[in-house]
Amino acid sequence: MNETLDGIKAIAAPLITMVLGMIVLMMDLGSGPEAVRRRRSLPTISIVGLVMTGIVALVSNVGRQLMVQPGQEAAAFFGRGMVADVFGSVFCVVLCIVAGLAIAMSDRYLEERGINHGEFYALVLFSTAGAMLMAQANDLVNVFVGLEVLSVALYILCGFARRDRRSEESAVKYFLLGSFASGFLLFGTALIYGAVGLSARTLGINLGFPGSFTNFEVIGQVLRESAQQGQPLASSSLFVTGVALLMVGLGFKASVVPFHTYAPDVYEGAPTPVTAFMSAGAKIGAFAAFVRLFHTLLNAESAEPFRIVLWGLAAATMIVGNVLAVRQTNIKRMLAYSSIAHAGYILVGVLASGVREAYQYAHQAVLFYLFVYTFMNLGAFALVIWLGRNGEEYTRISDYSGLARKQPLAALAMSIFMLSLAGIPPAAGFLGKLYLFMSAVQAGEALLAGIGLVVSAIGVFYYLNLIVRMYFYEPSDAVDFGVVRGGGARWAALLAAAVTLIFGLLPNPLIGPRPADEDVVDTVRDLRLRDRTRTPRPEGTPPTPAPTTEGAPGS
Amino acid sequence: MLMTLLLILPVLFALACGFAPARQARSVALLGAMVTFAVSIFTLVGFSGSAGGPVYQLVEQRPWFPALKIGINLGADGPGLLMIVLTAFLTVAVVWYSYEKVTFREKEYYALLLALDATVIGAFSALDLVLFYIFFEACLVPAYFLIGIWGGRDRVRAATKFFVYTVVGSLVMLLSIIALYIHAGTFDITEIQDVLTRKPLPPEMGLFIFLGFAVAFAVKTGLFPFHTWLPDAYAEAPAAVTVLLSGAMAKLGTFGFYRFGVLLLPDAAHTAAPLMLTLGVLSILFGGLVAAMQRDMRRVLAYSSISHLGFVVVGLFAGTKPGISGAVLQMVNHGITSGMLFLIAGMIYARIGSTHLRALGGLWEQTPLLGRLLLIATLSSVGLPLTNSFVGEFLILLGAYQNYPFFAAVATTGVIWSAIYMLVLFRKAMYGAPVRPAVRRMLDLTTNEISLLGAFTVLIFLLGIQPRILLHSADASVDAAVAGVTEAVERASRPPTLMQRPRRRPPQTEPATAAPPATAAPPATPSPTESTESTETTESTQPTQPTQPTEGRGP
Repeated sequence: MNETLDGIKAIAAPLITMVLGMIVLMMDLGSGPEAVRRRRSLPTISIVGLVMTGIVALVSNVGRQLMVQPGQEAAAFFGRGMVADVFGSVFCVVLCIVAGLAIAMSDRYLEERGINHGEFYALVLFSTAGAMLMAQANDLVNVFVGLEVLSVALYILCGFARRDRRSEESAVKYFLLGSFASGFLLFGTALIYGAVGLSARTLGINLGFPGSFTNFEVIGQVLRESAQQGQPLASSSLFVTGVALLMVGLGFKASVVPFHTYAPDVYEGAPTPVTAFMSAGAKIGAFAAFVRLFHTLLNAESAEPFRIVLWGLAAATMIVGNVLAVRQTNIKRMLAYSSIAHAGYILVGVLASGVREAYQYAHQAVLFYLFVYTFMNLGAFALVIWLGRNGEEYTRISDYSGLARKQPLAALAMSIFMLSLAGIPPAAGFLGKLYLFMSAVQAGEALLAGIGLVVSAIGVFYYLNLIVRMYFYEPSDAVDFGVVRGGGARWAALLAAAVTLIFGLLPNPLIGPRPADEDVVDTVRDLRLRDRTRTPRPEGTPPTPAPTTEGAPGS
Repeated sequence: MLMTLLLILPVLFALACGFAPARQARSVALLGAMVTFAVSIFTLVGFSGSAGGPVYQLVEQRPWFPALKIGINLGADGPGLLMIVLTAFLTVAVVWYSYEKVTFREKEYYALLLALDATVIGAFSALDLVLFYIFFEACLVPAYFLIGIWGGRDRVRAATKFFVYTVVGSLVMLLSIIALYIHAGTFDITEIQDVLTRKPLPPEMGLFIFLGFAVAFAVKTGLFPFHTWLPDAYAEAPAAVTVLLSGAMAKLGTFGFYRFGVLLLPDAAHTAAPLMLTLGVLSILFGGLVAAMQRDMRRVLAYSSISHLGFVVVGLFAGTKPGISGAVLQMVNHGITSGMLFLIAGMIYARIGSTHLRALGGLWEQTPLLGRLLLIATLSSVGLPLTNSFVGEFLILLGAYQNYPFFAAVATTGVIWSAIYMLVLFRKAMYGAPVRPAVRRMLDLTTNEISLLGAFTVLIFLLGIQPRILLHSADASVDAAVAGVTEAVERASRPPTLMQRPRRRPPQTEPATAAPPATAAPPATPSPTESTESTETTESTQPTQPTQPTEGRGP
């Protein structure tokens, strides 16, 4: 009984969000003036609920580790299918922010397009809950469940503007391709189940706890022990195929090249608040699962093939996203490609999270980056909504010519987002990028960091293009940016701009001093120093105080 | 506290400019620039850079981003402080200059000027690698807007080119910064210096790190193959901004060479010295040659800037005390001389709407005051004795000759080129009869402009006659740099065996005896009776004699 309570507490965030979604659905029922008034309060209720969820998520797992290392026992519940750690909690908080901003920016947009239905909020909340589930899942099956909850709600949201052909196209495309991706994920899970089970049985591995063979901890244990016994699971073709399929499924959601082709079309067609939500929410869920998966895989020995594949994916995603973004003339498509590029940067962090010297660093880097990315990316979308009028948006980049004259505040906010996305210092995007690439260098992937830096330089070009339009061009007469009723989108955009700037100047509140980190950095340095100066120690002598790393000096 | 004040004051006044009424913005800006300048003078007075003292003074350390061990570490050595004072001075000058010339979007203009001031000062005073990088990049943003909004006809292209080039350059530097961090475990420059003496970098690694820095600084300085953004940016930017670009921001490059090349990585700087000297000499020749072919006054000045900063690079990498002192001196001198020249060009442009040499002619008669002041600036640029540039260039050539006679010989021909293009420029602009109608209507300088250029004139002669006031404050830092390079030379020449211990002595004492005549040279040199060539031959042969053996052993 007590354990169940603990478990509920540990995964309070997705549960509350789910319940909140149901409450919103209930309140949407009924007709008459009373119901209409009630319906008007739905966004407020959702946002307040999300704020509370965020607080709950923040406090519920205080004091736990960021993420346990492979080999250690995590605080897991529900048949060890859900894990409670700070990593998952922070992801939940970020997801609350994503959903809150997406709802905040949608009010006027939905009204003007005549699609202001209560389901919108409920669907966003369900989708958020699905992503949270993915962030806290400790089992591939739960990852799949979370992914489906996330996706099904998103399919509907993409087609939410029913009368708009583009929106329908977007929904159909996303649904068809997305269901394939889910299939891949499920099939991969099945193959892994078989491979892990087979290996565990034939090698007689004594599993630490009874659990399914799709549990991350079980997979990690079998990977390690089978490698010790000389028949590494990582080289079994069944397992490799399974992981490859998993990568397809997750890579689709995270819009990783080569599974990215849907993204620009879907992003362009979907209602803009949905695009904003999708560009961050779905990605965050997928990346949480990615990090957990590769944390398990890469920390095991003989995981070289996965590493190489991930390396290739990260490099390709960064390059393709940035290069294709240059030619875009539609701002939503440009942001879509830019979000692909950013997925590539985050993959660099995912890759580093599989290296013993760097993983703590990398986890924080991924968290920090996703947090910052949320604000800068959603802020840019909120701005597009803010400047739209009568349900029509100005999506061509040339529409933004001379914006600085007509809407100086909007132009300033957009410049902050663009500079941050480009990684130019005063904005927070720079620190995020620095953090990610530093973790990559720490993990020995200097070349990948180098590629990332080179393609960021390409990024500077297209982000700058928008600033050039806004500030250096004369306003065109065809576009009327006169008096616009900003509504929630305005506040969302300004809030996001402020946060982007403030975290660029004062990053501390987000990632404060963590003594554990310093230990890691110092021990890594010590280890390297010792490697250079001394011959490997004989077995048995303990390494210098290295509480956080389990590596022996010679390995 | 003083260093922080130097950073915060301009930012505060920039914000005040943003909120002040449009007509008052310029007064607020002038006040802000003057207060900052006063504080910087105050700092300089309290600074003791005499030989033997600590290199970095006024050090302030505050944690900023402990997770990455980035701190707000500010401080200055002699050259850094000189650059800060120069920047503050030039800001006062350009705000003053802009007083009647800028008539639209004044609030933004002045706010951005002060922001540029703050970021450039920040880069000069940062003692933390990441902080330096942040300021190094952040100063691009105001400069970019200043060129793009208030620039000439081709401003958008020039601004974008400028931004993209410099960002690409600095991204390479970021990789070097990360690599240094991985080696030293800190971003603090003083700590890194300690770590590097205890645990030197492997030579190839050091060279790569140095080259990463070198790319960024070469782009910023506008060294020969990396210069293509520079003429466009200098010619298209409003005159006030060009002054800050060439006077202060380009110095970030040469100053970076000094602090991160010569001071921090002396071994790599020594290894790469032939390369850097080649680039420096090529810049001198190329800049001079192309400047002689230009038909627009501002382009002549832009290319002459390339040529002059080539001298600075030659001096920095000469590895001798006169060379490095001369380079530091020349950084200040170039800021003053080129600042004055660009301001005069701006005044001409403001009057007749062009600086094309064909549109000028006859200004000597038409505007006698402007003509006389341009003559002084021209002579200073050519390096006439009694003016500031003579001392700097002479010291540089002297220092370069001691170690690299060939490069010094080639660089000396640059003096001839500068005489050619500057005198041709002067002849075309000034002599002849004022035939063009625009010229015939041209008015002479206003009182404001006279007092502005008068300040520059005073500095030109003051520093030409009494350069010690600058050299003195840079002594401690320059001595440390020379000592570092001398040790590097020694290490490079010493075979890896430890048999050669006793040989360490003589090269260590030799520079010490060689130094006094070299340092004594500056006050003696500006004797107006001797021509440039004769001073050089008589003076330079003396100190080169004792160092001849070192040079033979060096490479």
